[in-house]
Amino acid sequence: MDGWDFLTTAESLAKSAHESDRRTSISRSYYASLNGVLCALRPHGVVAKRDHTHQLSEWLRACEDPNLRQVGSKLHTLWAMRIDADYRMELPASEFSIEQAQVAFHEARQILRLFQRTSPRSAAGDIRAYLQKVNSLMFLEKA
Amino acid sequence: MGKLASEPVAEAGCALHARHAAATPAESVAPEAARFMSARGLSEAHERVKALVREEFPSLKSLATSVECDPDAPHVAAVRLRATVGGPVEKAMACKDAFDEALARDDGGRLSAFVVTVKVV
Repeated sequence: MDGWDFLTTAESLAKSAHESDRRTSISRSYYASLNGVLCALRPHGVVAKRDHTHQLSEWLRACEDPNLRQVGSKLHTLWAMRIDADYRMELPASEFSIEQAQVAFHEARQILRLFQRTSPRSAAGDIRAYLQKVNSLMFLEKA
Repeated sequence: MGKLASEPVAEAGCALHARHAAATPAESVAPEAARFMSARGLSEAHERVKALVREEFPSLKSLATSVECDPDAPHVAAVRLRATVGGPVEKAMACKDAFDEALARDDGGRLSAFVVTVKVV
Protein backbone atom coordinates (compact mmCIF):
# COMPACT_ATOMS: atom_id res chain seq x y z
CA MET A 1 0.00 0.00 0.00
CA ASP A 2 0.92 3.65 -0.31
CA GLY A 3 1.97 5.34 2.95
CA TRP A 4 -0.30 8.27 2.14
CA ASP A 5 -3.32 5.95 2.48
CA PHE A 6 -2.96 6.39 6.25
CA LEU A 7 -4.25 9.94 5.77
CA THR A 8 -7.74 8.61 5.15
CA THR A 9 -7.53 6.79 8.47
CA ALA A 10 -6.23 9.92 10.20
CA GLU A 11 -9.07 11.99 8.81
CA SER A 12 -11.77 9.50 9.76
CA LEU A 13 -10.54 9.29 13.37
CA ALA A 14 -9.84 13.00 13.94
CA LYS A 15 -13.39 13.86 15.01
CA SER A 16 -13.99 10.78 17.14
CA ALA A 17 -15.45 11.16 20.61
CA HIS A 18 -12.76 8.79 21.93
CA GLU A 19 -9.35 10.09 22.99
CA SER A 20 -7.67 6.86 21.88
CA ASP A 21 -8.99 7.39 18.34
CA ARG A 22 -7.81 11.00 18.27
CA ARG A 23 -4.35 9.96 19.51
CA THR A 24 -4.29 7.32 16.76
CA SER A 25 -5.31 9.95 14.23
CA ILE A 26 -2.31 12.10 15.19
CA SER A 27 0.00 9.10 14.99
CA ARG A 28 -1.38 8.11 11.56
CA SER A 29 -0.90 11.66 10.28
CA TYR A 30 2.80 11.32 11.13
CA TYR A 31 3.25 7.87 9.66
CA ALA A 32 1.30 8.75 6.50
CA SER A 33 3.76 11.58 5.90
CA LEU A 34 6.88 9.66 6.93
CA ASN A 35 6.06 6.58 4.87
CA GLY A 36 4.73 8.62 1.96
CA VAL A 37 7.99 10.53 1.61
CA LEU A 38 10.19 7.48 2.31
CA CYS A 39 8.34 5.47 -0.36
CA ALA A 40 8.88 8.25 -2.91
CA LEU A 41 12.61 8.46 -2.13
CA ARG A 42 13.24 4.71 -2.19
CA PRO A 43 13.44 4.35 -6.02
CA HIS A 44 16.07 7.10 -6.00
CA GLY A 45 18.40 5.31 -3.63
CA VAL A 46 17.50 6.95 -0.31
CA VAL A 47 16.46 4.19 2.08
CA ALA A 48 16.94 5.09 5.73
CA LYS A 49 18.20 2.37 8.06
CA ARG A 50 15.66 1.19 10.60
CA ASP A 51 16.91 3.33 13.52
CA HIS A 52 17.25 6.45 11.41
CA THR A 53 13.89 6.86 9.67
CA HIS A 54 12.83 9.47 12.26
CA GLN A 55 15.74 11.68 11.16
CA LEU A 56 14.18 12.20 7.74
CA SER A 57 12.82 15.59 8.84
CA GLU A 58 16.34 16.80 9.69
CA TRP A 59 17.62 15.69 6.29
CA LEU A 60 14.77 17.40 4.46
CA ARG A 61 15.35 20.64 6.34
CA ALA A 62 18.87 20.74 4.94
CA CYS A 63 17.69 20.48 1.29
CA GLU A 64 18.04 23.38 -1.17
CA ASP A 65 14.38 23.37 -2.23
CA PRO A 66 12.27 25.57 0.15
CA ASN A 67 9.30 23.24 -0.38
CA LEU A 68 11.35 20.33 0.95
CA ARG A 69 12.51 22.41 3.90
CA GLN A 70 8.87 23.10 4.75
CA VAL A 71 8.09 19.41 4.41
CA GLY A 72 10.93 18.74 6.86
CA SER A 73 9.68 21.33 9.32
CA LYS A 74 6.14 19.99 9.27
CA LEU A 75 7.30 16.38 9.51
CA HIS A 76 9.36 17.38 12.54
CA THR A 77 6.24 18.91 14.12
CA LEU A 78 4.31 15.69 13.55
CA TRP A 79 7.19 13.64 14.97
CA ALA A 80 6.89 15.53 18.27
CA MET A 81 3.08 15.34 18.31
CA ARG A 82 3.24 11.62 17.63
CA ILE A 83 5.51 11.00 20.64
CA ASP A 84 2.86 12.60 22.86
CA ALA A 85 0.07 10.65 21.19
CA ASP A 86 1.74 7.25 21.26
CA TYR A 87 3.73 7.34 24.52
CA ARG A 88 2.53 9.99 26.96
CA MET A 89 -0.49 8.37 28.54
CA GLU A 90 -0.23 10.78 31.49
CA LEU A 91 -1.10 13.81 29.36
CA PRO A 92 -4.67 15.09 29.71
CA ALA A 93 -7.31 14.47 27.05
CA SER A 94 -7.28 18.20 26.23
CA GLU A 95 -3.88 17.66 24.56
CA PHE A 96 -5.63 15.32 22.13
CA SER A 97 -8.76 17.29 21.36
CA ILE A 98 -10.52 17.21 18.01
CA GLU A 99 -8.75 20.49 17.24
CA GLN A 100 -5.33 18.93 17.90
CA ALA A 101 -6.12 15.94 15.69
CA GLN A 102 -7.17 18.43 13.00
CA VAL A 103 -3.92 20.32 13.46
CA ALA A 104 -1.95 17.12 12.85
CA PHE A 105 -4.09 16.19 9.88
CA HIS A 106 -3.61 19.65 8.38
CA GLU A 107 0.17 19.33 8.70
CA ALA A 108 0.12 15.94 7.00
CA ARG A 109 -2.05 17.19 4.17
CA GLN A 110 0.26 20.17 3.66
CA ILE A 111 3.25 17.82 3.58
CA LEU A 112 1.56 15.87 0.79
CA ARG A 113 0.82 19.08 -1.16
CA LEU A 114 4.32 20.50 -0.73
CA PHE A 115 5.99 17.21 -1.57
CA GLN A 116 3.94 16.88 -4.77
CA ARG A 117 5.51 20.17 -5.92
CA THR A 118 9.00 18.72 -5.65
CA SER A 119 11.10 16.19 -7.51
CA PRO A 120 11.80 13.08 -5.41
CA ARG A 121 14.92 12.48 -7.49
CA SER A 122 16.22 15.94 -6.65
CA ALA A 123 15.25 15.47 -2.98
CA ALA A 124 17.18 12.19 -2.88
CA GLY A 125 20.22 13.93 -4.38
CA ASP A 126 20.04 16.74 -1.82
CA ILE A 127 19.70 14.30 1.07
CA ARG A 128 22.68 12.24 -0.04
CA ALA A 129 24.75 15.41 -0.46
CA TYR A 130 23.81 16.57 3.04
CA LEU A 131 24.57 13.20 4.63
CA GLN A 132 27.89 13.08 2.87
CA LYS A 133 28.71 16.58 4.12
CA VAL A 134 28.02 15.59 7.74
CA ASN A 135 29.70 12.18 7.38
CA SER A 136 26.44 10.31 7.93
CA LEU A 137 25.91 8.31 4.75
CA MET A 138 26.03 5.22 6.95
CA PHE A 139 22.46 6.08 8.03
CA LEU A 140 21.29 4.90 4.60
CA GLU A 141 21.01 1.34 3.33
CA LYS A 142 23.62 0.58 0.69
CA ALA A 143 22.22 0.61 -2.85
CA MET B 1 0.17 9.30 -3.92
CA GLY B 2 -3.28 9.22 -2.31
CA LYS B 3 -5.92 11.87 -2.77
CA LEU B 4 -8.17 13.24 -0.09
CA ALA B 5 -11.84 14.00 -0.28
CA SER B 6 -11.80 16.84 2.20
CA GLU B 7 -11.63 20.51 1.28
CA PRO B 8 -8.38 22.42 1.84
CA VAL B 9 -8.05 24.59 4.89
CA ALA B 10 -7.95 28.31 4.13
CA GLU B 11 -4.37 29.40 3.47
CA ALA B 12 -4.63 33.10 4.26
CA GLY B 13 -1.18 34.36 5.28
CA CYS B 14 -1.18 35.42 8.89
CA ALA B 15 1.52 37.99 8.32
CA LEU B 16 -1.13 39.96 6.45
CA HIS B 17 -3.39 40.17 9.48
CA ALA B 18 -3.14 43.24 11.63
CA ARG B 19 -1.40 42.46 14.89
CA HIS B 20 -3.69 42.87 17.88
CA ALA B 21 -2.52 44.50 21.03
CA ALA B 22 -2.27 41.58 23.43
CA ALA B 23 -0.72 40.61 26.72
CA THR B 24 2.90 39.47 26.52
CA PRO B 25 2.94 35.69 26.02
CA ALA B 26 4.25 33.64 28.94
CA GLU B 27 7.58 32.03 28.07
CA SER B 28 9.45 29.28 29.86
CA VAL B 29 12.55 27.17 29.28
CA ALA B 30 12.99 23.86 31.08
CA PRO B 31 16.41 23.56 32.81
CA GLU B 32 17.37 20.48 30.76
CA ALA B 33 16.59 22.42 27.58
CA ALA B 34 18.78 25.30 28.70
CA ARG B 35 21.63 22.86 29.40
CA PHE B 36 21.06 21.03 26.08
CA MET B 37 21.21 24.28 24.09
CA SER B 38 24.13 25.67 26.02
CA ALA B 39 26.20 22.51 25.45
CA ARG B 40 25.54 22.66 21.71
CA GLY B 41 25.83 26.39 21.16
CA LEU B 42 22.15 26.68 20.25
CA SER B 43 21.12 29.59 22.48
CA GLU B 44 21.32 32.21 19.73
CA ALA B 45 19.39 29.99 17.31
CA HIS B 46 16.76 29.50 20.03
CA GLU B 47 16.24 33.26 20.19
CA ARG B 48 15.86 33.35 16.40
CA VAL B 49 13.21 30.60 16.41
CA LYS B 50 11.33 32.29 19.28
CA ALA B 51 11.37 35.59 17.37
CA LEU B 52 9.91 33.85 14.30
CA VAL B 53 7.17 32.27 16.44
CA ARG B 54 6.26 35.65 17.96
CA GLU B 55 6.23 37.21 14.50
CA GLU B 56 4.04 34.62 12.80
CA PHE B 57 1.57 33.84 15.60
CA PRO B 58 -0.23 37.07 16.60
CA SER B 59 -2.50 35.07 18.93
CA LEU B 60 0.43 33.48 20.82
CA LYS B 61 -0.49 32.91 24.46
CA SER B 62 2.49 30.95 25.75
CA LEU B 63 5.72 29.40 24.56
CA ALA B 64 7.41 26.59 26.48
CA THR B 65 10.79 25.13 25.54
CA SER B 66 11.81 21.59 26.48
CA VAL B 67 13.91 18.72 25.12
CA GLU B 68 12.22 15.94 23.19
CA CYS B 69 13.75 12.47 22.74
CA ASP B 70 12.32 9.76 20.53
CA PRO B 71 11.43 6.70 22.64
CA ASP B 72 11.99 4.54 19.53
CA ALA B 73 15.33 6.11 18.68
CA PRO B 74 17.01 7.64 21.75
CA HIS B 75 19.77 9.18 19.59
CA VAL B 76 17.11 11.41 17.97
CA ALA B 77 16.48 14.50 20.09
CA ALA B 78 15.29 18.05 19.47
CA VAL B 79 14.55 21.26 21.29
CA ARG B 80 10.77 21.52 21.33
CA LEU B 81 8.89 24.80 21.48
CA ARG B 82 5.25 24.33 22.44
CA ALA B 83 3.27 27.32 21.25
CA THR B 84 -0.20 27.76 22.68
CA VAL B 85 -2.24 29.97 20.37
CA GLY B 86 -5.78 31.23 20.05
CA GLY B 87 -8.22 29.64 17.59
CA PRO B 88 -9.91 28.91 15.33
CA VAL B 89 -7.89 25.99 13.97
CA GLU B 90 -8.01 27.26 10.37
CA LYS B 91 -6.45 30.59 11.32
CA ALA B 92 -3.86 28.99 13.60
CA MET B 93 -2.86 26.62 10.82
CA ALA B 94 -2.52 29.47 8.34
CA CYS B 95 -0.09 30.98 10.84
CA LYS B 96 1.77 27.68 11.15
CA ASP B 97 2.09 27.43 7.36
CA ALA B 98 3.45 30.99 7.26
CA PHE B 99 5.85 30.10 10.09
CA ASP B 100 7.14 27.01 8.26
CA GLU B 101 7.63 29.08 5.13
CA ALA B 102 9.59 31.69 7.05
CA LEU B 103 11.62 28.99 8.79
CA ALA B 104 12.42 27.37 5.44
CA ARG B 105 13.86 30.67 4.21
CA ASP B 106 15.96 30.94 7.33
CA ASP B 107 16.85 27.30 7.82
CA GLY B 108 19.15 25.35 5.53
CA GLY B 109 19.71 22.91 8.36
CA ARG B 110 20.93 25.56 10.82
CA LEU B 111 17.71 25.48 12.83
CA SER B 112 16.94 21.80 12.42
CA ALA B 113 17.60 21.13 16.13
CA PHE B 114 14.32 22.95 16.84
CA VAL B 115 10.77 21.72 16.45
CA VAL B 116 7.66 23.84 16.98
CA THR B 117 4.28 22.36 17.87
CA VAL B 118 1.05 24.30 18.15
CA LYS B 119 -1.79 23.83 20.61
CA VAL B 120 -4.96 25.67 19.66
CA VAL B 121 -7.12 26.88 22.53
